[in-house]
Amino acid sequence: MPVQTDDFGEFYEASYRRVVGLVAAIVGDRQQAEDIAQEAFSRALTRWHRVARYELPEAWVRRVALRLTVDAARRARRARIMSTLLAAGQRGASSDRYDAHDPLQATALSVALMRLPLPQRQVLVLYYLADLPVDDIARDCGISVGTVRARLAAARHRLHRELTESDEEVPNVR
Amino acid sequence: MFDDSLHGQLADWVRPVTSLPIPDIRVLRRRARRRGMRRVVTVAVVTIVVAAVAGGVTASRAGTGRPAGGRPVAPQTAPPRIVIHGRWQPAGPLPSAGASPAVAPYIVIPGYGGAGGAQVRNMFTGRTIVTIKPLPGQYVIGAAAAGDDRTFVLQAEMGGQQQEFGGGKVGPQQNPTTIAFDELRLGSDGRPLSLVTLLTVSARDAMAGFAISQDASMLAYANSQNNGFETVSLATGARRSWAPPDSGTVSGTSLSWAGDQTLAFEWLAGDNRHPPGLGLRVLNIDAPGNLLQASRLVIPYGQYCGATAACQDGQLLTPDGSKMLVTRVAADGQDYADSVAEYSASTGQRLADVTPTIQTPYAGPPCVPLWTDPSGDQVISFCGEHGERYDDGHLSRVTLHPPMYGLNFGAAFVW
Repeated sequence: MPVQTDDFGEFYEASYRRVVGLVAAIVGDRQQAEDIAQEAFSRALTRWHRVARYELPEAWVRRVALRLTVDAARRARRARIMSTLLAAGQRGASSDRYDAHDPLQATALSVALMRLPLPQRQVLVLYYLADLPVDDIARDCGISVGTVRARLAAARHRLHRELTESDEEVPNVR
Repeated sequence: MFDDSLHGQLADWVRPVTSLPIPDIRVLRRRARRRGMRRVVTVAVVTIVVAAVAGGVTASRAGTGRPAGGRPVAPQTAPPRIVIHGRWQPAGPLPSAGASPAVAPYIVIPGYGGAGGAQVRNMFTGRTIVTIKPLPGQYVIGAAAAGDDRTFVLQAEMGGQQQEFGGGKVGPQQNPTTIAFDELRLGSDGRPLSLVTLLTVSARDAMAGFAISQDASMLAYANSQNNGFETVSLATGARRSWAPPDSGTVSGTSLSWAGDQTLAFEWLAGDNRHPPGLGLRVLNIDAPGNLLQASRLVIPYGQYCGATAACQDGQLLTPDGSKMLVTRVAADGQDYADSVAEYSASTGQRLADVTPTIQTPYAGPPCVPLWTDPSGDQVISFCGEHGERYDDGHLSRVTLHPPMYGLNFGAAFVW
């Protein structure tokens, strides 16, 4: 493909870990996070002439990756065997569970995070892990700033409640 | 509250991912597609064993082919060693010209279930016909279809170690040693008649991306050693290695046969950023010369990808070799315009749009051609979130039940 791979290489090296990290926090699975991040970057690569002209190419990749986490959740809803496996490995079950192949270590935080509905989880991860302001989260998720704030508040409340209740059971969270 | 520590805890939790080496750029596209094939999740593993594992003394026919001659080619190791298992039989007849898609209802989903088998479904009803357990020691990672809608070839990994999860072994093998190509024959009711291994090759040489000819006699599979592909006659063992010149690459998932001599592929740029003849090409596998000399450019890259858009690896060569069905992606402001178009394979002229055009801000879900009758008069595609039927100039929506869409849609099943 006629892309300037040198320029893309620099961008890829600089931003891959941030993207794969936030995807991992959303999906809770290493292999799936790598898969989604690589898919998002590969799409950027194939249209790099265009993406490179954007003010924030990483935001484009992030947006694609977020969309792919939604696609993955759709697939997981259609077929549930891996959800069952994941539920067996962790506590509780969520309708947004993924077809995990290599789940990250289960901690109280991760279990509580995975129990959040996907939209809340996306917002929370973008806010706390990626340190994005709500305006940028709204742009990445394609929702209003007010919706971001509402989801963030709900996610924070629910996460706090879950972690407080599980404090005595799992020592990973203070 | 916990706000102050949340960033740190999240960062610590995902560190096993963020501390990994960054994958090489060259494998981005290929790896994503390969992984996509492993991502088809399942409801249950109800297995019907169709294993006809005859012992069979294998006849090694390694080295009977010759590397492409002519211009310098990409670094080429010795031709991959392959083993033909001698169980090939011709596929059934093609549908008649202009046949309704109803004659070909079956799709095969590779990598189904934790055991890595395959599943046969009716694309129009969504009904599961059968879930097939893989042959012993195999994990199915890909599938290709011959022209009769009853003969399929499965690509399976062998060797290596399977991952453990939740007390059981699931998922594909790590570090497989061998790739097997197995033939799956279905009866008219979609239920399997046989599943046998046709050919095995070292896992170092074969990668995701392969195609079987209309009569199931010729196999083409992507060669990870030379970024090209191999063509192998399953009937005679004759083979040929096709390496792209100028360090270019062939998209392994772009391979599509017409008859048993003509193969379409997408030639992409490698280190040379401005190679001549970039795009969709048609190869005569009996012609002399290297990959470019033996093939001709049908559709230049820019005609189906636009100036800054992306290819989607979506083309089909009609079984009679007269037309190509190609995913077109054009930049349209901040969005992309996706559709499937039919081109003449002889002139490259765009003949018809076989789907509506959809606008999308993303690369996916793309428009992809899924099935065609021998002449391209009848075409079924998936575009956006709908099945689309092209009936000799007329477009209509058709109800389809693909197993998934979104990530690597086209790699999730074969029709």
